[in-house]
Amino acid sequence: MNPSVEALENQYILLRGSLSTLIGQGATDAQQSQLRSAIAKSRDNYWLATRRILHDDDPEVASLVSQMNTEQLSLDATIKNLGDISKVLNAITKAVDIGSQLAAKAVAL
Amino acid sequence: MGSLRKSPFSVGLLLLFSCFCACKVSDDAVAAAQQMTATATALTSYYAAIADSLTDTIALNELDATLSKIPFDSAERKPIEETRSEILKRKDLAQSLAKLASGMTRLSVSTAPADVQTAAASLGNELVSVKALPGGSPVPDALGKAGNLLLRLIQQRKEKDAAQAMDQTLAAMVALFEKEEPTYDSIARTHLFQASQVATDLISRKAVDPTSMLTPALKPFGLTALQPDPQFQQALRQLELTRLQSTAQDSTQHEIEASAAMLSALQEMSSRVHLLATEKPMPIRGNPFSLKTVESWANSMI
Repeated sequence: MNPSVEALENQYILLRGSLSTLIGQGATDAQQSQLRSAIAKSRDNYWLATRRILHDDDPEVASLVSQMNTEQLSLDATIKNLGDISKVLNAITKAVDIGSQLAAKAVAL
Repeated sequence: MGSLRKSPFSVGLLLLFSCFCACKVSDDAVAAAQQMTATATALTSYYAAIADSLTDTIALNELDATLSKIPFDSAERKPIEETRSEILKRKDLAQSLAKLASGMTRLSVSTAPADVQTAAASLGNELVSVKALPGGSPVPDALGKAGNLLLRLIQQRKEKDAAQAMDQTLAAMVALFEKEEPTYDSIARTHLFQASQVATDLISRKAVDPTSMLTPALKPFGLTALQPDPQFQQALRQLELTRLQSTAQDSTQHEIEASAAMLSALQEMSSRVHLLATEKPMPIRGNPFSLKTVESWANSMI
């Protein structure tokens, strides 16, 4: 599978699948709103990448995929070991931003 | 003859398929055409099912926006709609191939010149349709090149070379599916994930009637369940969630098997046409068994 699409799919599935758990951690209304926006952005990144074919042979894209995968592992661990919800949100925001960079690298054929 | 003039490739196609039918072993040509028809029809169903899953994905995201307040505006809807549009272009391509192959079958068994002319005109139009791939779509360049080569060779009346070009066209279609198959799997997986999230939310909100879970026990005896008490409803909800997860996993696996089977059938079709194009005997003439897997999955999506 295209590694870029796979990384973005995994990120969206992790975040959307964790929504109720994260909300259950006492997130404020503002934090919940931030979380939902991050999930929507992650989903959008996935569909942008699916619509197009990513140039995986581009070294910059390869580097972003690598960063995405590292962030994914970190994010997974952070969500599983919930502590400070604001730290979790920061981790999510950072991971989704990398996903946005990856989706922006998509080029129309 | 007017229709033939409208379709400048029809005469050439007649030559091409006459070559298939007259210059080659006729049974092989007929068998190849029938296999192409069955495979292209299954491919059409496959793409239709993927397109339907994208339609459902949009609806599921709308539901998710209502239930979970995850934003889903027109800008977020657009890339999914555009993905669906790309899938529908591939469906049209497969449909044209099915018609083309079906026309080949008609040509190979027809004895009336008028029938042959009509079928040839129809084939010409379909080939133009197959060739007219949407601009900007990620269809391998080889497909366009193969189509152009086929047309040129037909115009030059190089029948054998034209048959080989047909072989190339089909090989390019296989390459297209093979390249994109993981993306089709991802689209189907995401659809099922989205459905499972919304269904989980609905179960958690007690918006799903749990009595249907009792049907397997009651139906054989013509019995009807009463509304379960709250404690029993809670137990049934847990069963619903468990069943939902296992069904989602099974469905995901079913789609992966269907796309692998589709690729296998396309490869089989391509290899058989290759045998025809290279004037080699075709040892197997039946439709590929893998098509049943594709049809089963496509039917389950309706």
